[in-house]
Amino acid sequence: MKPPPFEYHAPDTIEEALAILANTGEEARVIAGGQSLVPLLNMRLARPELLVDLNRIASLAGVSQPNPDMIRIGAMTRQRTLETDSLVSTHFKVLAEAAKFIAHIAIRTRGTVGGSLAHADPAAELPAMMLLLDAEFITAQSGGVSRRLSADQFFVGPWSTTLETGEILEAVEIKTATDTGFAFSEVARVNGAFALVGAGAAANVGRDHELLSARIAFCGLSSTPRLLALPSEIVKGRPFNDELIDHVAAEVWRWAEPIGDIHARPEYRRRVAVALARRVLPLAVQRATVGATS
Amino acid sequence: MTQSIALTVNNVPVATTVEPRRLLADFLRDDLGLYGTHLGCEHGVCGACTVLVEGEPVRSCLMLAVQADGCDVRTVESLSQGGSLHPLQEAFRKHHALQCGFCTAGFLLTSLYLIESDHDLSDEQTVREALAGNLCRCTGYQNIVDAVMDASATMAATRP
Amino acid sequence: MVNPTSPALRYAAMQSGTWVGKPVERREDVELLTGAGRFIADLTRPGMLHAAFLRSPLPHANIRSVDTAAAKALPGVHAVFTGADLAPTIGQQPTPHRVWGQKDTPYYALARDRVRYVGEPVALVIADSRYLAEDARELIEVDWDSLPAVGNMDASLASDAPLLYPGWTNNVAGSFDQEMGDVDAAFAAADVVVSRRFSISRIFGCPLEGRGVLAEWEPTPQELTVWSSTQALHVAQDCLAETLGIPAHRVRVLVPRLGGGFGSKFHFYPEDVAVSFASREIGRPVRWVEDRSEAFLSTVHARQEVISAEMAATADGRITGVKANILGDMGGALHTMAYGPVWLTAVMMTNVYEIPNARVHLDAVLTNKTPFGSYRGWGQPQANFAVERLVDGVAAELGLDRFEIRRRNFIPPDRFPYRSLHHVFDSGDYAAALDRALELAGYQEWRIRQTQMRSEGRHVGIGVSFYVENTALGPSRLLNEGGVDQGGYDIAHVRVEPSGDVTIYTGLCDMGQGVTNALAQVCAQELGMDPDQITVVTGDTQMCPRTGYGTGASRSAAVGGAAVMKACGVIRNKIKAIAAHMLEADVADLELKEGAVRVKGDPKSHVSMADIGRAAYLRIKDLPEGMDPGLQAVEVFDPPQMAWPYGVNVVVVEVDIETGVVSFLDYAYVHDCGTVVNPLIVDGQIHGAVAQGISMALHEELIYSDEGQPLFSTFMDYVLPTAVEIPRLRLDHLMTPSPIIPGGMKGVGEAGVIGSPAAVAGAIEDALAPFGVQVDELPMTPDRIVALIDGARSQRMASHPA
Repeated sequence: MKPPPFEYHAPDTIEEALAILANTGEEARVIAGGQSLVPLLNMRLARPELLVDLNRIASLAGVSQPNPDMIRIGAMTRQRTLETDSLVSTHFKVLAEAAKFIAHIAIRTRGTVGGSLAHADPAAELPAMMLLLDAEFITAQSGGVSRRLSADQFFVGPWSTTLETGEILEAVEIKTATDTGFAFSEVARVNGAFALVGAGAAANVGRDHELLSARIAFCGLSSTPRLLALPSEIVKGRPFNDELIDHVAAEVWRWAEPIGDIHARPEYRRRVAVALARRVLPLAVQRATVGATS
Repeated sequence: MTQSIALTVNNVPVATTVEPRRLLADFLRDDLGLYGTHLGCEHGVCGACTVLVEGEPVRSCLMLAVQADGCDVRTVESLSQGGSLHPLQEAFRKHHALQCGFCTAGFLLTSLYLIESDHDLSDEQTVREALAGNLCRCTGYQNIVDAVMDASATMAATRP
Repeated sequence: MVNPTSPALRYAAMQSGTWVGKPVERREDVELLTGAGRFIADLTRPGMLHAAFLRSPLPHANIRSVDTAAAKALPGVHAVFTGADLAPTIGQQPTPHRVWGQKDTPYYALARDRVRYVGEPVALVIADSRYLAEDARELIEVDWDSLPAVGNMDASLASDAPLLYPGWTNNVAGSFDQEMGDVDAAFAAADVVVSRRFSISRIFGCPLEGRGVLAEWEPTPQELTVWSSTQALHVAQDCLAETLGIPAHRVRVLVPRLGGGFGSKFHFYPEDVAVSFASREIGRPVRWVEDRSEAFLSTVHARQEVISAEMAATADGRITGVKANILGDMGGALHTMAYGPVWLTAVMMTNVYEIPNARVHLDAVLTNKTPFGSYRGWGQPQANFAVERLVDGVAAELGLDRFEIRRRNFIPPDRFPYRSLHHVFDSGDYAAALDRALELAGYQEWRIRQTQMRSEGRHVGIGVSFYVENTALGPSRLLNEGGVDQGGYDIAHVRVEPSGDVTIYTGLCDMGQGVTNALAQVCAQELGMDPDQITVVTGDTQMCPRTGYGTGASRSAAVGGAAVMKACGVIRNKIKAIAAHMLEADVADLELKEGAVRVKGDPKSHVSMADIGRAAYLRIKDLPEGMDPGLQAVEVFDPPQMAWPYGVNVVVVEVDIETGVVSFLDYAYVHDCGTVVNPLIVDGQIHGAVAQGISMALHEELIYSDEGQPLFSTFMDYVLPTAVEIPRLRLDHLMTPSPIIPGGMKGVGEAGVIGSPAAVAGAIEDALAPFGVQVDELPMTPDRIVALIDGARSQRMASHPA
């Protein structure tokens, strides 16, 4: 299990990286944390002629607050940082909760937010979280071109995104939402393994604790991360009770497009999606209620 | 097709050239003779090859040696000083926390990071979760958990 | 009785001698903890080259041709070998374990004209580095003629199944029958008969360190030195000699540190031969280290059996008969141990119970999968799973408690030695262990809590299993009568050095279990010395005496320990004779204690071991007249029977019925392995083996497609448990010395893995009792648990339409 030969560049700036990519095309591959790519190299399932390493581009790393209503997470921010960063814990504690489910500490210290998003594993937590948080993806191409894509536009299939050849994911931006409660949970074969199903919920409640809106994002369930915006006729203005939960469960059951693999049949994933929805949504509502009243 | 790198390994400066594809683990083992780092899966799951890079645990099978250029790397060989065992190593021995010893370096370095970064290791479940990135096939983990909790308490008590 | 709550108290109670029973910290730990241990991948030799194997991507195919020209042309490549290169000089892979009626299933170090499983070695590249060898491997072109393949036993046994070996009439490589009593009468007279079909999946030992071999051929004087990650160095030596056509005395096998073995490294593999061949051809040392992706395919698989079994009982819960039909999935060829593990399943189908009537039949079925072989427990976990689940089934039918049904059927203590289906059990007080487990587990309290938790909607279950473990493998004649060309003895060479220190040479291997500590403690006990004065040398055929079998079958501490005791006895007599002469004392008044020979009751009158050593080798004039110089003994121990430790698993689990996730609320374990030599090590063996049993019950599975394609290649596919999934064990020990082993030791290495799967399965079934499901399949993955519940629900809906 040794990688095939390749050339290697580790530029210091985005511009340099984009220039190298523009000159090489399909044979080049970007390496971020390498926690998915290096296994593929070791197994010789990936065979780039050139690796462009983003690890030395300081401007790509870190969490910032460009304006009071927004958190920006640089693509090369380590997944571990999501657990330790104070901006993240203040505004999106759920990201820290979800990050704990990504493999293990020694993977998260190298693995990056952008790497996980660009890799777009359907079982990975962060793509689903970006759908849930309605994140905006900011990309860079050579010649100063930048695109802004919604999470929905970014993920198009299993391990497949709308990133173009030579294009780099630069950051994601997420609008802060103090009135929204979030929660995440996951079922995996063992601790740190890929999700059989993971679910993140977001909920908004009104003054009388009635539900205004709610959505649930899933990883592992389908061939891509998916977001279920619960229909307003189910949730809007309704008190959050067992009857509503049953409606949500039925909606998840109907909506799920579960996949099967050696670990679980589609029927299992559908059932667990419902079970997780029943667990994360009440927690999100509870947190929204605390947020709304505090 | 080699590239120059300069790094610090166990406080010793190293300057050399490597092929870009050379894994950090192979570089440490075969180029520097630091065989204490073991390869158990080469796809990042088992944790046997865990080393500290810039003080944080990483899989040396999932990092290229060229990526460690300019970094500070610590391996299991750095733990015992002057012939005496590190408190973590002492605890592992006392609690019979190793059998074949193949996974041990990875557990030691993960544990060292947890202790040095002030993780709260007083709760067993927390310790088990923090160690879940290292697989052991021999011990059933119980004695490893006990050793890490014991060492953590001992080291906290002796900290100035 | 031993207090289970405090290890210190427990250990104090387990100490039966000065050194035997003492929790001595292990001698190898400092080396291993500091990263100084040297495993096979850490060894280098001057001029050493690196190997990589090209393996079959197809489950069943003929090889039309292999084109190695491009690979050979790559700079840094020294040679590329194929089956055709080996054919003139290399014999087929040996199967030293020959069991009843097995057929010959020839396979070779490199496949000659046909492959029978994905992963079978086809070509070997030798290059300057592993990186280069893998580069060259990609340039080899094989012209395949793909054949229909069978990926499971049903397909293999179909009347129109493709045959793995031309000329055979089916794919059955061996069958075996055993019977005692009048089974048909017992079943005809039974008040209750329980029939179940058990399916145990394919898993494997999966040591964290893969296998490896470093071979160095010396053209003059034509000697082969092989460093091998083997548990059985003499098996390796014999098999290398046989396949390579070299006299065994010109083959030296050395064993470095092993990163676990669990039986899988007992086997002799194609790579051992191919790499040795390559070194001989090229004239340079060659090393191959198995990587993880090939480990899944090239190290023997294990366990996979389907057991259709029935148990008959009377209304008062006496089990009167057992019948079992066992199918073992052998993969593409019979490997080193042939179908031995399946045979052991068959003859263990009465477990610890006095069941007078039993009939077992097995078929060893070939499939297009990696060959089957040893893994800790051999066939015992499967037999235990089937029997213990049947016993639970009888208990459920009769409304009896799971502890009570077992108590009613144990072989009583006064019936030992007891002849079971095949073996003779040496000793046991099973009811005492059960009582202790009942108490340790707090079984009655758990039943009360279970009722309460069920009323809260929680699904909590309690499982219990009782196991007996086949240890101290021997005697040699019994093995030979069974068709095995191996002994069951062990030889210890113990030598007092001129310094008074002691060196023990043993053919046993240390694969992480710490056997050298046990042997040193036994020796220290016998010679009244500190273990630190004793060196134990293992893993070198040139220095170490032959072991009849190798390190496996939980035999090292018992058989190897007894051999050391025997040798120490001889030495002790000579030491006393020397000391009596030097002290002018009577031999009968002497004792060996604290590194000296002392006159009892006279503290001033003693002679140190150093003085004894000096007399024996250097100052011969100090020896009694006529005594030969030197102070050593080589002694053989061949056990008269096997020794049979036993124990109880009591498991409490909670099942999340929505997700199928199982979590442990408690795990209590009571066992008796006779005299305990080092309680730290004994506890550790139990911990590790129980974890493997739990993993067999819940996690691990090597899944193949129906066409024989493996659906696993990483630890993401083949799931191993972490510290989070494995619960804390609460252990207690009983210590009833074996009457047939000097020192009273019984083995312990496999104990924990045997009964744990049945207990975990029983606990899950109990937790899901409200649904009325049966847990007869392993592993019980979350998906399977949910499927069981769904199945039960839909059945209920069908039978009770709303």
